[in-house]
Amino acid sequence: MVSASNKTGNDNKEDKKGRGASQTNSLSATNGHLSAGTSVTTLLSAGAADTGDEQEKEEVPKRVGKAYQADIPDFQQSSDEQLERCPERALLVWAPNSTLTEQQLEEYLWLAKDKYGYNAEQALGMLFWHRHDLERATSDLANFTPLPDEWTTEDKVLFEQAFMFHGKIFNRIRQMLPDKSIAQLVKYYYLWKKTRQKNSLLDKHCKKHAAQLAALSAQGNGKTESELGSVGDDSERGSGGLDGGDGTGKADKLCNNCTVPTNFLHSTTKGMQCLTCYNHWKRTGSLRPTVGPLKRDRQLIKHKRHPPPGMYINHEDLLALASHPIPPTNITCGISSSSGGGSQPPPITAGSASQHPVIRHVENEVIALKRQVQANKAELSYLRTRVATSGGINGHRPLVPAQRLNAKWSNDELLLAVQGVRQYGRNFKALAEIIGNKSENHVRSFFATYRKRYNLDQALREWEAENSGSRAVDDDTEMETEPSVSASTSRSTAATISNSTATTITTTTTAAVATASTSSTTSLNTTTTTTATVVAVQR
Amino acid sequence: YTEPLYPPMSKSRVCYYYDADIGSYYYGSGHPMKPHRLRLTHNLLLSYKLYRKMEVYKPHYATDDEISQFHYDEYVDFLKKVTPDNRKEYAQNLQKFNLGEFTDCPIFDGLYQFCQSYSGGSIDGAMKLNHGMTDIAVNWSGGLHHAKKSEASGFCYVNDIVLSILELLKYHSRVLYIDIDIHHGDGVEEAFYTTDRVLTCSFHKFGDFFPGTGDHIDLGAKDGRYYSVNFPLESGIDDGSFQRIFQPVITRIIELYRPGVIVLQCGADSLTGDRLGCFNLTLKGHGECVTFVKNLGIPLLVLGGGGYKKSNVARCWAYETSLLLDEKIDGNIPYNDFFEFYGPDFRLHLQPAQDVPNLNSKAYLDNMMQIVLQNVAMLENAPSVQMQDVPRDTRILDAEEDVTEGAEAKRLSDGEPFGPPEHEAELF
Repeated sequence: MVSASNKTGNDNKEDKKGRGASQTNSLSATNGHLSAGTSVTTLLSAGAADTGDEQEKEEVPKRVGKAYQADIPDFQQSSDEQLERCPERALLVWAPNSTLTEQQLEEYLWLAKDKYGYNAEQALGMLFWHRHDLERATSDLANFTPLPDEWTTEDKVLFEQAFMFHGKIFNRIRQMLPDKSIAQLVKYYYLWKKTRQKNSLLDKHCKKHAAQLAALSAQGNGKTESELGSVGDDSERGSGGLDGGDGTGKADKLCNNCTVPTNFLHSTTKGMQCLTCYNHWKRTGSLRPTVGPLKRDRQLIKHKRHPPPGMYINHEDLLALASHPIPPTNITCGISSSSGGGSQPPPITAGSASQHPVIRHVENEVIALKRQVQANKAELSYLRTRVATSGGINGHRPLVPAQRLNAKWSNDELLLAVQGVRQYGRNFKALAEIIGNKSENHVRSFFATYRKRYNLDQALREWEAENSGSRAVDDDTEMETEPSVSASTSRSTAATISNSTATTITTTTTAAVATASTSSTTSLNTTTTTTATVVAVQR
Repeated sequence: YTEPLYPPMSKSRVCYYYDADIGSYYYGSGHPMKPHRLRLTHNLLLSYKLYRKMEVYKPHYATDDEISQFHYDEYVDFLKKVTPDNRKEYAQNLQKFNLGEFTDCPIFDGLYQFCQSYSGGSIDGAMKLNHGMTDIAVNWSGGLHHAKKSEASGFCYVNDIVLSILELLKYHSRVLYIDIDIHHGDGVEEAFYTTDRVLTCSFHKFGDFFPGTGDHIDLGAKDGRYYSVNFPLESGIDDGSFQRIFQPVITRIIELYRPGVIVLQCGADSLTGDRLGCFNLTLKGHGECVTFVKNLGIPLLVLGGGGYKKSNVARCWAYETSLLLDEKIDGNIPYNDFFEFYGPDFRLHLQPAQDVPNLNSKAYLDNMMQIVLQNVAMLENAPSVQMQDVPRDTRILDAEEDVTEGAEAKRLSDGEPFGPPEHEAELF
């Protein structure tokens, strides 16, 4: 019934086609991933192809014969009984069941995950084992809580070290971690690979160390210190101090001439200047021009290039970037150069795309933040679906006991109120709801009483700016908005977004205090009260 | 929009084969083939809640005997015993079997077990289909179509497709093999080059591209003449063009060949953005092939294959699983253990690359299609066509159907559930 001609084979054909060893080898050995260097396009056109495989093709010999073809098994007419008796060699792990609803399954999975740490697969396996009996499965969950496949910190550090040393050669990495199988190493590698920027233990250690250093060094821009903190930039900071002139390294961070923020200012007769301006002054005795020549229509071309708002570029960083040669691959983490005494750990390569430490830092920060954003997004959508499936958000609202109104303002409530003004403006109703034990009228009177003390106008203005920007500002006495205050408040806004509310309150109240203290209308009493409040706030 | 030839009455029963350890095999540093993509796919299926809608199996490890159904004993023995530590001793054999560090097929830890795992999955799927216990069987770890009888090739060591087809041939007289990997399915074609019981059909890039075979003039030999269909393509083909050639060719083949079962290799290196591939297909175009074949209503074995951008492979195969299950899934990648792999957009679907020109002109495609269809049409005249054997395929096929009494070829009505036969087979 089945022509089994391939079994007999045509021997004469075999000789001709056979295995043109070198040729076929070169064909089959062609690197798939180099996308075949050898061209095997035949010269035969479609027309001449009638004889098909009969023709001897020099380039692509057809491999026909027992050596290449498979042995075709005979066709069996199977009876109905045979259909039932299927020898099952595979292990059935899960089968769907129509009696369970989606909702029930979800709940079961949630429970298994939250309470016992099962992943979806394990939980379903358990359920299947109990033949889709939800109750029995749920009760059995506790007995078989899966062992967390966690690696100890020591293992993780060893892995990172081994990886940096050997790369992706897992049997060598295994020599450093002999109790882990290669399969486990590979598994961990892929889990670790994408999150390493954020969680790299070595980076964390470097960060901690650098933070200590930052605390020690009395000078410099706070922001730049933390920027340079992560991977050892001792060399950078070390060379930052200049011997020319009187390097004062004051808290004053702006150059008098070009207003660029910088770590070190040098004194000139024309004021405290950055290195570039200082050099120019030293050379010429005049101020370095920061403004270009007149254009045709008499408009000054400013050479000043300001970075976008919220961005701070340190002059020293720029100099370093511009002049610093690309350092070699082994960059010592801050550990070795600043660890007092003790053993020096071996230099560890911080493997990253960019070699320049300054750029790398900023990159790392950006990546970490981005990752955080994505994780947050994912979590949000996940929560959203969860809320949606569980029938709306109202089920998840925490119970707030009905509160008795209390006219007295506690410190906490004051904090909340100020923050609330920043967030919601003049929405007394919302504020009352947030605080809980204050009515709308209470909030209104709060506004009146504490307006100046807590600089609510400022907060209101910021809220307005955030929300529409087109509404006119209150015509009350405008507080002098010092750049530092607005800067700190906007920074505090940023801080709010990255969920640290404490900072916001502290900064806002600090701003309030600062303004209050400079305002001429503040009485001693008020200052004392506010300071007391602030002190109380900061605990 | 594709008109399904035989729209399904209800959702299909799907069996899915997955070995939890498969993602831990590692070909070696810098090698483009990464089994980890299978773990990514699996995780995506879990978080898309598709896992719970199918029967999930852990496949058995294929035995030496099962692998020797196709491969030479010598080759199988060698695969068993060679390890990264002792490979220096076997330098000659390495070359003979095309293995080792100067080839595409490195020796890595657990190599043989890896082969056993993915082959076992394909064989299990085939057996399931044989006994009519499922409509669709899926093994994404399989589909390694380059392996030859006594030679490894193109990252493939054991040809699980051939093994599964050999299993299917025990219960089906005709098997159709469709290959949408960007590389030519040369291992499978070669294995069945001289038989008419398996029709191999491959759509691939041809011309200065691995493996170099698969020109449209390769039609098969002896009894297998015209039972190999090859559609060579140029780089940069897009969704629309691909469907324009895929559907007519497959339709025609089904009409004339009437297979009892279909094996579909869904290599994901035909997607846009692949590290080794140069096509411009998106998930939609690739998945359209799967939907089209599924809607034919014929028992189906779905296998994986190439695919060298892990995140795209996972996206593709998860999406295609959803198509097989007739389940809609969200365009956002749900949170899972490997969420970060899907950045920066974390979206399911791909966008075709704008800077990749489609070198397949309409004229070229039309011309090639004509040639291919002409070749396919030759199936009608081939003398050794075995149309009279009743395939005991689906469960629907009960005792009502006319079944031939004797094993000898006789003229009778086909009795297949999918319409009257095109013609009566000729007697020998």
